[in-house]
Amino acid sequence: MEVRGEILILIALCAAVTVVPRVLPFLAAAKLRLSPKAAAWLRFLPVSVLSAFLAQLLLPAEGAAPEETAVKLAAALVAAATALKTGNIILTVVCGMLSFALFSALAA
Amino acid sequence: MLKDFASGGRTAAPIVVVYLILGCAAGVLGASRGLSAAEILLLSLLLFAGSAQFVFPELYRGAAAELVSAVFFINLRHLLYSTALAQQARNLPPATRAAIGAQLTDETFLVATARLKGGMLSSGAWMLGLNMVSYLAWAFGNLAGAVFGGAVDLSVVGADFAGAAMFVALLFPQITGHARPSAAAAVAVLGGGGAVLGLWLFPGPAATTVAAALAAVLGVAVFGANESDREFAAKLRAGEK
Repeated sequence: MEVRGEILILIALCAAVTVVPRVLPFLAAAKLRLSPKAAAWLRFLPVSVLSAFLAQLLLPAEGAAPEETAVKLAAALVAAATALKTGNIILTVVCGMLSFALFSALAA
Repeated sequence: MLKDFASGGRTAAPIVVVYLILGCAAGVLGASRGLSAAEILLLSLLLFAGSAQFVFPELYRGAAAELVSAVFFINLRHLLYSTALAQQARNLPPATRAAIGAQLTDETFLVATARLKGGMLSSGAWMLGLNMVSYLAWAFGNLAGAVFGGAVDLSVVGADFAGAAMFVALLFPQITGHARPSAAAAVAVLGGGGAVLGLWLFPGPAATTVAAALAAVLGVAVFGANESDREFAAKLRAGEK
């Protein structure tokens, strides 16, 4: 249970480059005058960021077997069906995870 | 104010479930790569960023510049989140805005925007409650993973998929809750397709964030701004002091 000096420095550097993009727009962009098109862009952002990172998560990892990707896609379909049917976030996560575990066991 | 804080904290319930599991997985990984429990706890308290905390244990023994630039690019998407949410929070005091930004994650941003449905964030306490409860769940999960890591096998419950499942769960309310659901669905397809294309053409940690920003630009180019966007822009101007 100790913190090494060099690790502390690395953590501090990583925290610094993370906190600046998080905080800066809250202080700088809050006074911007937005055009309707800029407002439309900001309102499309959550959807586009989310789907882009979801696609990244579902893409085959480097050196992954084809079954691994198939398992991820199948579990994503189960999660999507749960989300559409129930709209419940926790249930969607639980069904997605359990189907992933099940499909992984079946594929192994 | 306390009531708003508690209400925001309750809104974090789904995030708590996911952060406990993912945090535990991050703690297990950190411990297996030689980080001490105290270092893992410090990392989650200061960095508080899921994907970057899965990268840190893999890279910290190499060149510092490589680690720090990877973390920077992985977390650059927060720039998009905070730019978007800053507009809805512009009536709050600067210190409150800074505190909200410092704890912004994929999940807190998405749960908050789904709840706001394009309206203004009127209660800083509500957002801070949402953030703080998520933050504590993340730190607790990490510590539990670091301490008890070897004893539990998280793959039995599909922990590797918790992050992706959360993104699926959050994507649908973003589309159905949007002022123009069909346009939002098209932008989602553009974002997903753009990321695949971007990662193929320019493999690297910045490709996905750039693809997402461009997909939203393309969405505006195709669908333009509608009445609710004009109202939103006007509301922001009206809020100026």
